[in-house]
Amino acid sequence: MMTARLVPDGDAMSNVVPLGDASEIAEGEMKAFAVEGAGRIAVYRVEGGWFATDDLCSHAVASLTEGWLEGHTVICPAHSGEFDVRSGKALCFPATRPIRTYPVWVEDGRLIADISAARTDPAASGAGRQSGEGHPNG
Amino acid sequence: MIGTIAIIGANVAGVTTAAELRRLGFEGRILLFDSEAAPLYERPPLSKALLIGEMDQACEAPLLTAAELADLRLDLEFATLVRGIAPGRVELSSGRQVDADVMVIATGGRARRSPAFEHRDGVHVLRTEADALALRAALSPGAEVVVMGAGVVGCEVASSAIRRGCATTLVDVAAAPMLRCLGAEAAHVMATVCQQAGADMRFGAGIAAVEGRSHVQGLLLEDGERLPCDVLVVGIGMAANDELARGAGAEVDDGILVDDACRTSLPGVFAVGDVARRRAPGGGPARRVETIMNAQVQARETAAALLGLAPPAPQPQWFWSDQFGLNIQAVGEVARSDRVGWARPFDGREGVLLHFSDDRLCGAVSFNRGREMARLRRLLARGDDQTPEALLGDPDLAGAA
Ligand SMILES: Cc1cc2nc3c(=O)[nH]c(=O)nc-3n(C[C@H](O)[C@H](O)[C@H](O)COP(=O)(O)OP(=O)(O)OC[C@H]3O[C@@H](n4cnc5c(N)ncnc54)[C@H](O)[C@@H]3O)c2cc1C
Ligand code: FES
Repeated sequence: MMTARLVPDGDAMSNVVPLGDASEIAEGEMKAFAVEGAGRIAVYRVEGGWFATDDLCSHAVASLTEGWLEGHTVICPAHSGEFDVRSGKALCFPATRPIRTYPVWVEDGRLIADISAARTDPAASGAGRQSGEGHPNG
Repeated sequence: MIGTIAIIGANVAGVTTAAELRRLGFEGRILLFDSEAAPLYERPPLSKALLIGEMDQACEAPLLTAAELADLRLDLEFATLVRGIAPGRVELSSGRQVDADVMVIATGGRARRSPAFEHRDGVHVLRTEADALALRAALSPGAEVVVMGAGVVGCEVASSAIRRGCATTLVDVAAAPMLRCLGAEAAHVMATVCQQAGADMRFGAGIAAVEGRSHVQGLLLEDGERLPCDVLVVGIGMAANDELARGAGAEVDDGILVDDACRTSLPGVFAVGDVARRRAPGGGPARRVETIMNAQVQARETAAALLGLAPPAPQPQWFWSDQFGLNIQAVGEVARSDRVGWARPFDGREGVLLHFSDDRLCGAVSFNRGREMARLRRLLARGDDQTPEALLGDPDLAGAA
């Protein structure tokens, strides 16, 4: 089922990190994980898919996982800026700048993210992967 | 068929109107006028990040990205003051006249000044980037700062001044800070917060006179007390920029009077945002609201009405303020309540206060609890009929520890 290969620690090219147990996040919910060197990463589980973005809102200083998740939209708790968790695109003022997204997947029940593959692309879509699909480089 | 729409004023009300028109499929010309040379910035950081020094220029908090602006295909006319409007025509201060089928007035307001204190150095107001930069330059450590008016902006200025090391006093004739928009219970919480942060406070006090010939040196309160003062910030609200509408013969009364679709009394002329004063449906007092959300909602209503589309669903009023390390949000009609209760008691950092009217939820205030506020906004938007007891005991509104 899982095709992804874990890159050993210390690999300079890739920074694939385990975040936690997939069971920690129920369908329609989100959670932030602290990752050394990358700050806090928010992971969302929506309609069976897993998505990951920076937890810090691009508008000011709030943590998105302290906000509200509605479908694929995360709503910031401070000023109600909205982002699409698939692309990181800012959907609603006062949020204007996109947030970074990360590839994230599940391997043997563990949530894994590729920090080195972060992207900030307002036009990007479908950055998240379906559960169990594995890592593209795997 | 509408060919050209002229929008006067390029802050959140005007820009959102333009974006909504495009989103709803309008393909004609949109002219966007503003007297400022670079008006596309957010006002909220002016009293916060910009005053503290976390930002250096207002353009660091843009209303939209350059790519989004390009996508909107607007004819931008910045650094251009609109001097008058007439049927089908906009008149610019240069004397040039521009044809437009429809006009949307989004001219907002200007800081209200106090004529008695004018013409002295050290007296400031806060509405524009230029105001904020001038005030920041005056807020040097140790300066004696008095903020006259403890409304939302006044309290934010006090918070920022304290952060910059100024000896700061808040003066207001009201009994507590932000009383009108937060209600008595939350306002008294805020009085404690301001005090603990180091603000000196004189509530229930008016300013009788300003001392100093060319530069302000002190203030005399109505009760005879004298306050030292190097910097006086006059934070007594805004005056609506409603002259264009008045000059054209529209009904105007502390704001341009509009109906539920933002139509003024002149055909083909709409008004949105801080400048608009909406007539109450049942004939009660008309109301002008100065919040980002109100400007956005009215912009959507205007765009839909212009294109003959169904209006967006109504939403309860909502605003935020960031001050003294707190993200404060208020929703609904807190002034209308006859009962309040804490769903999550304020502990100095966090809290959720519910307002009820006739035993139904009518508003709420949150302190650093945006998630519960998001929930409350949804409850109020769809109309909630739970009892106060049920809501006050709801663990989802109390929030996890
Ligand atoms: C310091 C400060 C902090 C704030 N903080 C918050 C907050 O935290 N949360 C919140 O919800 N709200 C906040 N507000 C309120 C919010 O900024 C306003 O509600 C909002 O800016 C209203 O937008 P508007 O487009 O209606 O008007 P405005 O922002 O006033 O914009 C009107 C524009 O019209 C232009 N204009 C005026 N007359 C003419 C003319 N004749 N010709 C051409 N151009 C013209 C002006 O130059 C201006 O750019 C704050 C306001 C201030 C001043
Ligand atoms: S901090 Fe997220 S919208 Fe402002």
